[in-house]
Amino acid sequence: MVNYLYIHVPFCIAKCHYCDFYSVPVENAGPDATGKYVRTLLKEMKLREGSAGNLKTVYLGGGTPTLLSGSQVADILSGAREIFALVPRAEISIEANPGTVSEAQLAAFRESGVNRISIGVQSLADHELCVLGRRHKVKDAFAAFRAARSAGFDNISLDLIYGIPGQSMDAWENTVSSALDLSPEHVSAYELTPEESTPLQVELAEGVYALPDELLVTEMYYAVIEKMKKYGYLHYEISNFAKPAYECAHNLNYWNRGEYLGIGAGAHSYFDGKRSGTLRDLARYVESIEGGTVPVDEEVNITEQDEFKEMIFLGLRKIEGIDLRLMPESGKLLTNKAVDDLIHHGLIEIKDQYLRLTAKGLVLSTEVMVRILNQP
Amino acid sequence: MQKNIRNFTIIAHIDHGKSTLADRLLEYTGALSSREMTEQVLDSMDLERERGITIKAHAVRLGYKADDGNEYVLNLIDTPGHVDFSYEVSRSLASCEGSVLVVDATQGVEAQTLANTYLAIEHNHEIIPVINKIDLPGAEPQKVKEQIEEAIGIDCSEAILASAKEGIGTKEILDAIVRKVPPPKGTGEAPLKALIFDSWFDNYQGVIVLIRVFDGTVRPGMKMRLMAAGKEHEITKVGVFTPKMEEVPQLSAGEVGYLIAGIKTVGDTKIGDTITDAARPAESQLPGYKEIKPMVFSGLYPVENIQYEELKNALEKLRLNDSSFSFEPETSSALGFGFRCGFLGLLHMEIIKERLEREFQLSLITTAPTVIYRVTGTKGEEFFIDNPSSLPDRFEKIEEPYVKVSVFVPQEYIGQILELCQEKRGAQTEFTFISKDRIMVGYEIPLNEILWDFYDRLKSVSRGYASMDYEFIGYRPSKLVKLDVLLNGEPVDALSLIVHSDTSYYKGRQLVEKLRQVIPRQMFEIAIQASIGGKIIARESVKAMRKNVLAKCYGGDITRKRKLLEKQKEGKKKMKQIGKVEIPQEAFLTVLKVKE
Repeated sequence: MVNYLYIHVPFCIAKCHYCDFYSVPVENAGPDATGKYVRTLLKEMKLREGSAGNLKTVYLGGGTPTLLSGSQVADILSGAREIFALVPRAEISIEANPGTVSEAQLAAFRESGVNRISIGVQSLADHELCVLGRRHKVKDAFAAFRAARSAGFDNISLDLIYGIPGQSMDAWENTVSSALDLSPEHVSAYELTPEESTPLQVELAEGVYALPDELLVTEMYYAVIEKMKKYGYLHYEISNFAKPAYECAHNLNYWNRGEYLGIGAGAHSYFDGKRSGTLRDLARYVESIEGGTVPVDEEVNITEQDEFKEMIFLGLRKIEGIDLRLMPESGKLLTNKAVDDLIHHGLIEIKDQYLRLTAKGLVLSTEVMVRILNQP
Repeated sequence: MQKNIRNFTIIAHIDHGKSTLADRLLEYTGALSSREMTEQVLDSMDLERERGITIKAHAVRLGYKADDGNEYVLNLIDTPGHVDFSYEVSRSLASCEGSVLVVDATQGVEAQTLANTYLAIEHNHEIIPVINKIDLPGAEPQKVKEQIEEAIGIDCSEAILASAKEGIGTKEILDAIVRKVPPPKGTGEAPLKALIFDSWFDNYQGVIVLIRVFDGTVRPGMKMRLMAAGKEHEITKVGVFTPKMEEVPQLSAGEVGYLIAGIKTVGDTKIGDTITDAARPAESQLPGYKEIKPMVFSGLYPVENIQYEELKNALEKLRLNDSSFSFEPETSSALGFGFRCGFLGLLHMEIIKERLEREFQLSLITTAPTVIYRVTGTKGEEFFIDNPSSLPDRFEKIEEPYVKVSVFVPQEYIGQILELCQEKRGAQTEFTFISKDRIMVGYEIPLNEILWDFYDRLKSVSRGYASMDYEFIGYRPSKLVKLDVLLNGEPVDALSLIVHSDTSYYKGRQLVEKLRQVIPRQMFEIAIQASIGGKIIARESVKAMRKNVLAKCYGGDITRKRKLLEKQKEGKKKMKQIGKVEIPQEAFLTVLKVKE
């Protein structure tokens, strides 16, 4: 039984320059677009009834889920409770963009059962936000955090980005320190990744901006790791830090290769040995659900080989690493010549039956994964 | 009806419209209806069509009723258009009595055209000048006529103005062929003498041999003798291409066609050999036969060692059809098992490599092409080497092959061309104005120097206007040294080069710099060194990889992320592991890009 539910809210005020998730400008989505969408989500849940239950987590991601009103979120969650049922103290997260949330709205979210909020702060320097194409200012981020606290959120996560064009080490350390001053329960620190055909990638290709030097970006990463540890956070995944017991259960499920159900246009699911995605087209998604069919756009059968690959590249993302005792063919891994080489180069280590990246290996994780996968 | 036969060929520079003209002739004479025409019938191999060049010669028989009321048989013999295949060209020319010289009205005479026209004149050809592409806006037919008259010394007052693309001038060309090209000589009763001007392997019929009969008659059932090869075979079929294969009862003096005799490999039917009747042999063979030898050598290695057998089979298959290329097993300490292959020239090498990769799905590493050096050892013994790594540390003397290069170039670019030829260690032997603004320069240059990047640079410094031709003139002693490359202290034999000692330091530095650019960062620093005679002369390093990490990986894009990793994984596969260092395929050709 699938115990993890993801709900995609594909609306934004405007697209950020680096984002390649599916979303549409809410202005162009027609009258009452969000209301219509919420009703469709409820219908999809109904269509999916039986494929998930006893939910341990619900995650409202986007897009910008905070473009939904308090009552719309409440409708979604009561639908989820009714159709799938939630376990007591289930983790219910919502992503929030500063500048789109009011205190009243946050209070309503809290009221409806949302107990974790992830705020897309990204940077605490206005000119960097501008480069990223974010619509909010630094003061909005602080305001959103304070509003969330006063609305009663005691599990707040902040998203931060480093490696922004023009960003210095000082600027990054300042962003991290200022964020830590707020004492969030969780921090995600991502390196800026120019995804295919995003405006950022075009700007980089055209030379409008240049990414900071690779060495500097690596140092930024090591700097945030050090700082977070100093402040008592656990580094539990390549880009994620949490105060003890505040790891994101929903995301951990992805890295543990657990099953999940994704609801909404452009949402992804994994269950019954298949990874699938729903149509990334709002109008056609709505139309299809109205007609009683979930529009599955892409569906991939996960073979045993894929499974092995996933275990490697998802498992190694966790700082604790891959539990070799849980790996069906771990023997194969231990005799892998690449693994030997990587251990020799100090990029991975095996300790207490766990295979994991070393500090040096963290910044070369993709290289490590590719090398292990390359060996038969 | 020997007097109604006309055997001719078309001489033209690449892109001057030879194939299009051939198509028009086929179409006009009804050999093919325009519906049947796939563009450019004569260039049948994909590769040929893509590169716009003709690699293999073909022969087509056309029937033409001229204005005088007589039916004529016109045999069009197609020739390869590249300098690598000049011997094949000469044998095709020997098979006919006339040439249609096609010159682009917008481009003028090129080196290749000139070289082939001279060859045709040597074979006593009647030359029919055709100024093609007169429909183009930049056409200057009058100027081109003058150029042909000045450069080649043939009368252009009757030159035909044509546009093969538009079908203009086709009839005039056919009429000129009938009127001007002499009918073949020879008698059907004399002992058989037929010239092989091409052959290829067909999966169903064995080797198909293209011949021009000079004397006597060839027919099925006859036991034929290959005079140079000294072998005998029984002929099972003779025929002509119309352009479809059509069997005929016999081919007599003056005729052109094919024969099939259950021959298994093209190596047995050498181009230029003479076929005679074993029962009534001719006294002497036709003149001009040469055993052609590869001029350029390079190592071919499978990226994946397990593909060695597949590579071997593929080479054997290609060799069935191309006797001018050779291969021998070779072992490299860096690359493992592979083959040292010999080619007529660089284009020939590229064609073979591309066919291996395309038709046999092999992933290959090609080492830098090299010429054959003649070495005199310390004890006075003489030997040849076709692989730089086999040059011993001590030797008495080393000689390298020289070629005479002829370059045709508009006057405005002459300065750059002279500079290039000097840089390539050339010695000028000729400097002639072939028309008011075009110059021909002759240089004697080590063949090795034109292997590197000569042709590309010739084209680039002259904006594509210069053209060239070359011929082997002999071996000459040179001050040459072996340049070795070491990766993390280990010599990589496949990267060794033989270079002139005057520029060896410079080349060594360039080479390590280029390698630094193409070798991707790895998990450790890589030292790249160049050495001559054990002395390190240059060093660069590839810094260790610092960062390769996907920042985000959540539920939505796990399949996409997996595919991304798989793509990186594929990239890795194309690398060759040498010791602990991974080297991309192109690194081995990087040495070619080292400039003086």
